[in-house]
Amino acid sequence: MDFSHIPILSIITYIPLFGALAIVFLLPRENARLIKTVATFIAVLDFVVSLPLWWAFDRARDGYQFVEKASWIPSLGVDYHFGIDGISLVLILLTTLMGVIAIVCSFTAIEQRQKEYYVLLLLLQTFMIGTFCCLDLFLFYVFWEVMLVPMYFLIGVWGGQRRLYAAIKFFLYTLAGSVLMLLGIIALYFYNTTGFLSYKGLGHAPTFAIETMTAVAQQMPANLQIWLFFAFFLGFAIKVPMFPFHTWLPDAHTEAPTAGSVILAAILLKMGTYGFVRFSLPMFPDAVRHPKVVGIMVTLSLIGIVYGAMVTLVQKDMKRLIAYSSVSHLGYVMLGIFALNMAGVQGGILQMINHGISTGALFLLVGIIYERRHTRMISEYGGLAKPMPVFATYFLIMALSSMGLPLLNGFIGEFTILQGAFAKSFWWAFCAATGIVLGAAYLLWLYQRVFFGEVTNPANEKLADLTFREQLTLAPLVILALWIGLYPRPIFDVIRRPSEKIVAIVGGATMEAPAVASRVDEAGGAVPSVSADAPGAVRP
Amino acid sequence: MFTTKLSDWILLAPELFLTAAGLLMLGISVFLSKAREEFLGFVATLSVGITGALLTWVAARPDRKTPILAGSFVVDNFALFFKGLVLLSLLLAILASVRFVGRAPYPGGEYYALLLFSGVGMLFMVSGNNLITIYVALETMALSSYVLAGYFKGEIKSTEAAMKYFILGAFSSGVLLYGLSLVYGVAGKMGLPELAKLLSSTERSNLLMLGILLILAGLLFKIAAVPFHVWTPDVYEGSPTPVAAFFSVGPKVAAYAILARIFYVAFPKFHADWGLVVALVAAATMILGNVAALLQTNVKRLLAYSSIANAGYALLGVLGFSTEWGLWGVLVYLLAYTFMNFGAFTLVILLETKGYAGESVSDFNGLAQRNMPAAMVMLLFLLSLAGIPPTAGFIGKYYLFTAAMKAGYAWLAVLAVVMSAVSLFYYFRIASAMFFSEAAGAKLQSSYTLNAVVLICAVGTLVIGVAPQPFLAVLKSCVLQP
Amino acid sequence: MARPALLGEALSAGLLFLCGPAAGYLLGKWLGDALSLGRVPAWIGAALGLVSAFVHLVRLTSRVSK
Repeated sequence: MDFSHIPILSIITYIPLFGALAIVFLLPRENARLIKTVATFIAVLDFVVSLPLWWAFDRARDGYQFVEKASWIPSLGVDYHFGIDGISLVLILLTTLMGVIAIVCSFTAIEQRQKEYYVLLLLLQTFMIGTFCCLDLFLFYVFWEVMLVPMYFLIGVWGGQRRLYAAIKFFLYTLAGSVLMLLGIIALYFYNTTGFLSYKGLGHAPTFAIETMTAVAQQMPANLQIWLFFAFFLGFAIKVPMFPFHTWLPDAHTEAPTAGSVILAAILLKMGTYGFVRFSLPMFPDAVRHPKVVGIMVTLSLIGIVYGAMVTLVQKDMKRLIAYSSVSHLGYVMLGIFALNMAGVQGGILQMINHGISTGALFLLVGIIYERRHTRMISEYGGLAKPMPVFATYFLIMALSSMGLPLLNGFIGEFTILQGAFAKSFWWAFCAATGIVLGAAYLLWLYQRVFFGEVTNPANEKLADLTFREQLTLAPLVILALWIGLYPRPIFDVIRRPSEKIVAIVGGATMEAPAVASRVDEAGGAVPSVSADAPGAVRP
Repeated sequence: MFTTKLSDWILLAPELFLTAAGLLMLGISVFLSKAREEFLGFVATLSVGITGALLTWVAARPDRKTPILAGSFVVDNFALFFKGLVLLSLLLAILASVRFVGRAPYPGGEYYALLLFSGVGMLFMVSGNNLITIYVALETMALSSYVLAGYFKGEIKSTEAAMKYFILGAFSSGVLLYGLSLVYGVAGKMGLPELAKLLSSTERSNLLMLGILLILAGLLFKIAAVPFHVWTPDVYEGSPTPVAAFFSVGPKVAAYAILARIFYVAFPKFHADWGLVVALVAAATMILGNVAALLQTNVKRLLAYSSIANAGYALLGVLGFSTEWGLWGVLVYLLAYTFMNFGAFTLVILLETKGYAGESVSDFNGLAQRNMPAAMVMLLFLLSLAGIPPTAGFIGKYYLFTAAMKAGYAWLAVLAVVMSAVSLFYYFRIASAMFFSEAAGAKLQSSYTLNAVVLICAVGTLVIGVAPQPFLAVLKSCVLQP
Repeated sequence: MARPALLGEALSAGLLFLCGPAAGYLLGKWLGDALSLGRVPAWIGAALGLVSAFVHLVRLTSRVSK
C-alpha cells in the first residue's frame, strides 16, 4: 500500500480529536448511550485505520517512514514533522488497541459526567499517538506536556478516595521532570546553531528535527553529553518510573478509574522508556557508554526490579499491588535497554509491549471485580474461582503472562532481557532473575488468596461472571499474549532495524548466543532474531 | 530652539485625540445621570477605537520613523507595538468595567476619564526617546492610577490601597528622578541615543553607576519586582477588580517598554554591571512570587503574586538583551501575558458576589458543573500562565528561557523552569476547585461586555499558542535597533 | 503532640538542615567526580538537600498545627 500521498499518521492522530470535538459540540449530555456508541465508533475507526500501517511498513528499510513535514514556526525552526520507525509503530498500534479497550471497559464503570469522560479519553488518545509519531523535538515536547492535562482530569474527577492528591501529585511530579527536558532541548538547539555558555555552536540553520538533532548531539563533547543526558533523564525517569522517582505511580494508578489505570500502565509508562530509546541513547552515546552512567542506570533498574517486587509482595490492595508490579516490570525494560546490546534492547522494547498487554489486562480484571464488590482489598475475597470461573481463567492467563511463564509473551521479553544482561555481567542477570522469582511469588500468592480455596466471604458467593462486553475487552489482550508468546518473530522483525541502529550508535557488539538459541528453538520455533544475519550492519 | 512642522503633530494624533476624549468624558459626565452611565462606557470604547484607527493611520505614514519634538518622541515599530498593547489593555479594561461602574455608587465619568488619561501617559511613555519625556509620561500614568486605585471612596480597603500605592509610587518616582538627574549630571544630555553615544566613550564612574542603579530601582518598582513588590498584593486586593486587572497589564507593560528602551538603547555598554543585579532580582522575584502565591486563598492576591512572578520571568528577557532572543522574548511574553492575565482577572470579575471584597478560591467551586465554557476558558488561562503548551504562555516562556540560556545564565533558566513547574500547583488549585469540587461556589453573572473580553483573551491565548508564527514575525520587526 | 516528642521533632528538623545539604553535597561531589562534571553536581546536591530540609520543616509545622 502506498501511503506517500496520504498523511496517514496525522489522520490516525487526529481522528480521536475530531471525535472528541464532535461529542462536545454535537451530542447532548443526557444521551449517554449515544455518546458511548460514538466514542466506541471513533476508537474502533482509529484502530482500523492504524492497522494497515503494520503491513505497509517496510521492515527492511532504515530511517523513518510515512514522513510528513510542514513548516510550523519558522522563526524558531520548528516543523510539524511526523514519521515512524519500528518502535513507534508497535507502540502506536498498542495505543489504538488500548484506546478501544479503555472506552469499552468504561461503559458501566462511569456513571456521572459521561460526556466529559469520553471526550477526555479521546483527547488523551490524540496526544499519546501524536507523541509517538513526532519527529520534531519541540513538537514532541508540546505533545508530551499536553498529555498530562486530560490524565489529570481523568484521575481527579472520576477517581477514588484520594484522587485530588493523586492527580496533582501526578501532574506536578511529571511536569517537574519534563521542564528540565525543555532546557535540554534548548541547549541542543543552541549547540546546533550559535552556541551557548562556553560551547561554540555548529552554526547550522535552526531546526528541531530529531534526525538532525541526533547527529548534532553525537558531536557534542562528552561532558556536555552527560549534562544533557541527565536533563533528559529526569524527564523520562519519572515517567518510566525509575526508582527513586516512582512514588507518584502507586497513588496515581490506585486512585484512577479503571480505564485511566489501563491507559496509564499500558501507554503512559511506555513514554518514559520510549524517550530513552528514541532520544537518550542515540543522542548521547558518549554519556550512555560511560561506565559510571551505565552503572547508575543499571543499579537503579535492579533496585527497581527487586525493591518493586518486594513492596508488591506486601500490598493489601489489589490495584496497588499491580501498580507496584509495574515498577518492577519496567525495571526489566530499563535493564534491557541499558545492557546496550541487541538482545537487551530488543527484549526491552518487546517487554514494553508485553507489560502494556499483561498489566493492562490485570487492571481491567481488577476493575471488573471492583465494579461488582466496590472493594479492592484482597482480604475481602477468596475462592472466587467457584462463582466466577471464566474470570479466574482470564486472570490466571494474564498473571502467568505478567510473571513470564513460557508460552506467553512475558517469557520472551524477560528471557531476551536476561540474555542481554548476562552478556554484560553475571550479577545483573542474577539480580534480575531474583526479581522473576519474586514476581512469581507475589502473583501466585495473590491468585491463591483471591481465587483458590473456599468462598470465605458470603458476599462473594453470588457474583456474576464476565459479561460479553467484559470478555470483549479482555480477549484481544489474551490473544496477543498467546500470539507473542508463541510466535514473537513478527514483532522482532519490526523492531530489528531501529534496535540495530541504536546498538550500533552506542557501540555495543551484537550478541551471539547459539547455545541459548537452541533451547529456545525447542519451545516452539520462536527465535528472537539476534542479528546473526547482519554482521555488516554496524552503521555509525 | 526647536521647530515643529504640521507633519510632526500628525504623528501625535492618537495621543491628542485620547486626551481630548478624556476631557470630553469629564465634560459629558456632568450632564449624565447615573442611570445613563453605560453610554459613557460606550463613548470610552469608541474613543479607544478611534485612537486605534488613528494609530493605524500613523503607522502607515512613511515618514514616521524619524523622531519628532527635538528627538524626544519617536514612533518606531517598538513604540507601535506597545501602543497597540496599551490600547488593547485600555479596551479590555473599559469593557470589563462597564457593568461594575454602572452598579457602583460613584461617578463613572471620572473613572473612564482617569483610565483614558492613564492611557495617554502610557502612549507617551512607550514613544519617549528622552529621559525627561519618559519621566513626565510615567508620572501622568502613575497619578491617574493612584486615583483609580481609590475609586471606591467609601471602602476602607480601596482608600488604603490608593494611599499605599501613592506613597510608595511617589517615593519610587523620586528615586527614579534622582537617578535620571545623576545620569544627566554625568552625560549632560537627556536624549537616549545621545546618551548611548556619549556614554560609550565615557569611563565608568561611580556617579553614573549609581544613577543607573537608581533608575533601575525606580523602574523595578513599577514592574513589581523584588524587593520593590510589596505594594502589589495590597493594591490589587484593595482596588476594584477591573482596576486591578488593568494595573496588572497596562502600566506593567508600559513600564517594561521604558525599561527596555532605556536599558537597550542608552545603557547597553554597562550590561556586565547591571546584568548580575538584574539576574539576582529576577531569581528573587520568581522565587518569592511563586512561593508566596502558594499560600494565598484570596484569588486577587494569588493573581497579584502570580503577576510578580511573571515580572520575574520577563526579567530573564531583559538579561538576554545582548542576544537576539532577549528583547524579542520580552515582546512575545508581554503580548501573551496581557491576554492570559487579563482573562484570568475577568473570570474573577464574573464571579464577584459580594460586589467587592472577599474573592476567595472557593468562589470557583463547582464552576465546571454550572457553566462549563467559563471553566474551560479559565483552565486555558491557567494553563497559559503555568506555561503548558500549546498556549501563548508557553511560547512566551520558551523565548525567555532561550534568552536566559543564550545569555549565559543557565542556572537562572533552571530556576525559572523549576519555579514554572511549582506555579502549576497554585494555578491548579483554582482548576481543582472548578472541576473537582462539589461544593457551592459563586454564581456567574455575565454580561455582553464581560463575555466579549473573555472571548478576546481566550482567542488571543489559544491562537498565539497554536499558530504563533505571524505574531513572532511581526514582533521580530518590532525589536529596537541599538 | 506531647512535649518531648515535639522537642525531638524540632531538633531533628534542625539537624536535617545541617545533614541534608551536607549529604547532598557529598553525593553530588561523588557524582561529579565519577562523571567528570566538575563541582556543579555538588552544589545541586547541596541545594536539593536544603530544599528537602525545608519541605520536611513545612510538613512538620502543618502536622503540628493540625
